[in-house]
Amino acid sequence: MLDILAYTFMQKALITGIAIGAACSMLGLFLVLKRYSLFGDALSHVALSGVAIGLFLNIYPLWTALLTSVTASLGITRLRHRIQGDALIAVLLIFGVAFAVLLISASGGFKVDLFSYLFGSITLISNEDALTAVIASLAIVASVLALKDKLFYMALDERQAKISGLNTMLLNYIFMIMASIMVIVAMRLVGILLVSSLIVLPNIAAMMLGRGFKATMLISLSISLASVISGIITSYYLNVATSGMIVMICIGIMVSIMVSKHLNTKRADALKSS
Amino acid sequence: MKDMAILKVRDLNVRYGSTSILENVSMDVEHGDIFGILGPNGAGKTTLFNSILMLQEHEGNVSIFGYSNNARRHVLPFIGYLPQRFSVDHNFPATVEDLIYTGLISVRYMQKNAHLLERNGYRWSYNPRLSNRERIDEVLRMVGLEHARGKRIGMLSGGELQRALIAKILVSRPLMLILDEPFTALDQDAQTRLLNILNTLNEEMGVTIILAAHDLMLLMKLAKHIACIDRRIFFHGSKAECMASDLLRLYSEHAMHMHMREHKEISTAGHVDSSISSSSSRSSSSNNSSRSTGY
Repeated sequence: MLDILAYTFMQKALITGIAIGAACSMLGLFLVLKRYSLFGDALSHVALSGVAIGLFLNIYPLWTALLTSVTASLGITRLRHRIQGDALIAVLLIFGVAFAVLLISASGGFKVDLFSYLFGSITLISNEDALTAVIASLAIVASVLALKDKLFYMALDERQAKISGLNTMLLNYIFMIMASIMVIVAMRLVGILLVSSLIVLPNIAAMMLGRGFKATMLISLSISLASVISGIITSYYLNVATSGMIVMICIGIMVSIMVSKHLNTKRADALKSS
Repeated sequence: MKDMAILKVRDLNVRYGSTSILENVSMDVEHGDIFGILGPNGAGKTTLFNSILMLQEHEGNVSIFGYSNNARRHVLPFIGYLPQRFSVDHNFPATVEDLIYTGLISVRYMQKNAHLLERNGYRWSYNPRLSNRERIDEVLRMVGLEHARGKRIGMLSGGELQRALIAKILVSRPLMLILDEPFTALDQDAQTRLLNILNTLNEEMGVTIILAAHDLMLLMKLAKHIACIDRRIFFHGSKAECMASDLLRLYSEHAMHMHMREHKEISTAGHVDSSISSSSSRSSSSNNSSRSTGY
């Protein structure tokens, strides 16, 4: 069955996918805990306008996307105390799409290129892109590992963290820049429209299972990697879109955890009452 | 150098726009004291703490361990702060152990700044030889939560969560505790338990404790000094002076006003807590709605 692993494009897709999946789930845990679950969506839609700028000006679109999403994330960090979080996310989301549509129409309509950004194209990724994605993902994983205790403290209680001597402002900026880089990298795997999936789904599922912080992080990582690997392989055999497959598998895992947890609680209740 | 106050507040003013929250608040807290701050809800107790802890813009001078204004930032981690409200989702993935561990994150920073305390005659009693696990065990024992080590904090009862939070602030061996309404939402047993813990900390470890409450009877059981606040400081003195003063009588007169204000807040917050304060100070009456300022 695993003869497909002999294909270079498949090896490349799997290695890149695993790196991106790991980074998304690990950084994503803190986004979910900070109640920024939709933050990835906002950034990716702003990144869409960045892609449009790149296509319009004939610059490599990932660079312009990175520039716009980093700018947006720094803006969010600055404004988050003045405008309420979900409203801010909505504004960025709308702005990103509107501006992108304007630029795309001005440049003569949709091109095939754009679809790969919208829905991801991990199996078509170039060597350079794959390498950049892997390096960026590993850098994010390493940073999260180094900062995980501090980020966790801030997610739990930012004011306490500040009293304890943590430079919360600097940490927030670092965190947001990491998140915007992660969104651009994840775009290659699942596309702009599904970026939030890898950030949110494995973590929500893991939070249902893991009791403590470290266990939750590990479970989330396993769910993310399982979805990415099985999604890439099955999508090849079924000849369907990889991004959709990865996300559907992830949702499948989450729903099964929910259902089995529910059944377990019911069984325990029944045992108690009998 | 120890004769100087561990916390000194001078002419503290806080305003939100044109509304004044704190007016010319000045007070001294001595090393080893248990200092009770009494005042109705909305009197500015939390604002006072936030200002002390640099979480709130303010005018005036605050010095902690002998370091005033911006310089006090470096010694803030030596204060254990328990906020009035700590809310956590039931599915937040943190065990009691994870929570307490966050109290150890600042230790490296504290080790770097411990010489600042020593320079002013204070000693940080942190034992670097203990492992983190031993430290966590120790504080869990202190607050009586050994059984809950691996429990999710979202699943704890109100009293257990309060004790877990206290364990978290104790684990880095702070020299001073600032506790904002620590007895609220605790039942009688939990209150007694917390009283004992605080007494032990103060007597055996010399920890200075500053706590806010709106229940005079509870404060009298614990505090050595008391300050009454309602935007301004009305009374500032020892427990004996407090007993000798008209405070008790004045407090009861003032109490119905407090009672009414509390009721208003309780109904808007949708949070009913009948367990706190069964003290005589809660006499009910129907006609007092003006903001009285005369204790």
